[in-house]
Amino acid sequence: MNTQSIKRTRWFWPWQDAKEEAWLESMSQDCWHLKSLALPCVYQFERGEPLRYAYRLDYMLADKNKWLEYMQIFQDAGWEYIGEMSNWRYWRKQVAQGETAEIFTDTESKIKKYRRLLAFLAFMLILLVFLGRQMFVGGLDGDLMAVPVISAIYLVGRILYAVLIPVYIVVVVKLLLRINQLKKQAL
Amino acid sequence: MNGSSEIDKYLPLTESTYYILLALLEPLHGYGVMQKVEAMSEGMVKIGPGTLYGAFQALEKEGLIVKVGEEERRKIYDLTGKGRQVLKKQVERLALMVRNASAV
Repeated sequence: MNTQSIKRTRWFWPWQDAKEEAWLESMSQDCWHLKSLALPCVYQFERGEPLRYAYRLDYMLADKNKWLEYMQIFQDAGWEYIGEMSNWRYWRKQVAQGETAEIFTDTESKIKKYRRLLAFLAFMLILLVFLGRQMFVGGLDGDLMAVPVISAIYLVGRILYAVLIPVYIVVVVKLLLRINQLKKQAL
Repeated sequence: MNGSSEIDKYLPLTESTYYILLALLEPLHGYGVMQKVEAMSEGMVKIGPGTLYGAFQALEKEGLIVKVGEEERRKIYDLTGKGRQVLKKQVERLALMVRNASAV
């Protein structure tokens, strides 16, 4: 067997999960099937037969007690688990030409997926704001700030916060818009 | 305690939830529910695993279904008394909806 593999690096915004799925499907159509997810944003593909796959992403925090039941239900329905990236679970199922498959078959459950993500983001934001307040808003005393390394770290931290918070807000707003879009489709 | 509003707050059920509860008139595991729903609805309603898993979690939390066993790692669920009441009320609503539409 002559297996070839390639690596791809790609970033996707959480409200663009459908685009991510479409990208994986187009890779598969070119005989590059997703093999594993390594580091964040790094995808490993393996050259294979021309198979048609439906790729679907779920957002699920790891919960040891429920994980087995979750896996079992998906596998029974014919889905293959590839891996996880920042709590996104990558699933695929082989489909016939012109067909597709879904892991979420109603609007409510599609919306709930984004709500799980929003809940996690809200938690992270609180953590971020709390830590930021502790570290940066209170400031350090003059003696410490006089040390160049410490003042440099302090500055980098501030810049990171100044960038991260707006990004968070954009992500949350985009996700809320996506939910709204799904609700409108529901009639 | 108002028993009726305890039940009414779940109504109307979504189509998927309705069929899941209906399938659980007999104890079944997830895979069984998916197959039964598709068969009962003559292929009109398919329940994806993500939707089913989420529904199981929510319905169990609300006490409408309960785990009653395990078969080869598959959890088996059954309706509770409360679940049965909810389903019954939903069926009454649906029956009325159909009667109202007799002119169509």
